[in-house]
Amino acid sequence: MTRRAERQLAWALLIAAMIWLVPANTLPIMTLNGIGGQSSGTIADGIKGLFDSGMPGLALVVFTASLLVPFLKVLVLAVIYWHTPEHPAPATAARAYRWVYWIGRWSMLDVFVVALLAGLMRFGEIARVNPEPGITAFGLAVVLTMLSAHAFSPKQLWKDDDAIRANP
Amino acid sequence: MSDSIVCHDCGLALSAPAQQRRGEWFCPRCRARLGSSHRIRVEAVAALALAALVLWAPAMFLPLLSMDQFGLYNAVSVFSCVTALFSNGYPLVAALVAVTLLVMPLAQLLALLVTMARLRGGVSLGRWVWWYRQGREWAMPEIFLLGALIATTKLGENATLHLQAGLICLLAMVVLRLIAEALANPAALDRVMERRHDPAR
Repeated sequence: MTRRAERQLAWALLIAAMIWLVPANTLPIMTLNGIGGQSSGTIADGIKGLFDSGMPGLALVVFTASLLVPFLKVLVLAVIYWHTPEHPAPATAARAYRWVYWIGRWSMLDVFVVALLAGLMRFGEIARVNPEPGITAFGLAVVLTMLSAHAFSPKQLWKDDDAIRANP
Repeated sequence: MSDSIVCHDCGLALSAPAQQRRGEWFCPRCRARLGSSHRIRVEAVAALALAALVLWAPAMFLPLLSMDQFGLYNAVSVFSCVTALFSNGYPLVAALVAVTLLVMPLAQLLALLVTMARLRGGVSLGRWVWWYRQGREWAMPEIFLLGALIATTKLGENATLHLQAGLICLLAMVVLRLIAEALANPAALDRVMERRHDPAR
């Protein structure tokens, strides 16, 4: 693949991820059905719930993995792609790219929370957790962002002539 | 040419430092970690990968947690999470969970074991290193463990939760995999392949 085609693929995947992030954060990710009634919650509701039930540490972990990192990651990648080729600060960009690459997979956390609750809370009418469409959107956003980072190779940050000299 | 190495991140060609040099060394241009004085301990990594592989089946199919609520009982395994998502009408999420928890850990550990065997036998490593690298990113059992911890906080006050054998197996698999990954650094594998002029990279 040419460098230009590589960048186009990375952009396309990133834009798709940005679009999926909207329903991921506005639609509920799961519903709890119980004797006390029914309650649906978005990702933000889940974080607030953890905080309200006296677990600020876990709330902070989920906030970072599910809310902060997905948006920050998309933003950081967009800024890196925007300045490529001939990035003005390739070493800094490479460090940011590597950080984003490593941290991005932890955003899958909420998908696994819903998966485990859907598997465990199956007590018919008495207590039941059902997934909601938000979780599909969220999973897609996380995977598309990871694939976008995959499609982009950090070699692009340096000028072409450098790369030619570097690959005799 | 035999001593030249190529940075996996920025593509810069460099000459390898002298063998006796101690500590780690990094790409001067992009600061990627290129290698260290530690050699890959083939037997140790193979043993860890094999042990983690053996734990894979019970970790995936034995119950992780069980729950009593209002006199009803239910247990959950990684596999039953996938089937529950599927039967709830979320095949895409089910597939995502199946790939990141069932398929990729198995593929990665198998690839690591075969890589070590081939390294020892002096055979070309081939595509196995690629699968191992992909597994480092797409296998996510450690994230699932954190997710399980968070999920238990949402069960309500009427529930009694019991830890089951599958969870111990999963925990042990995660720990062994992390140690094996730390010992079998991909950059170190690159250096080995360069020394042997292995074409498949």
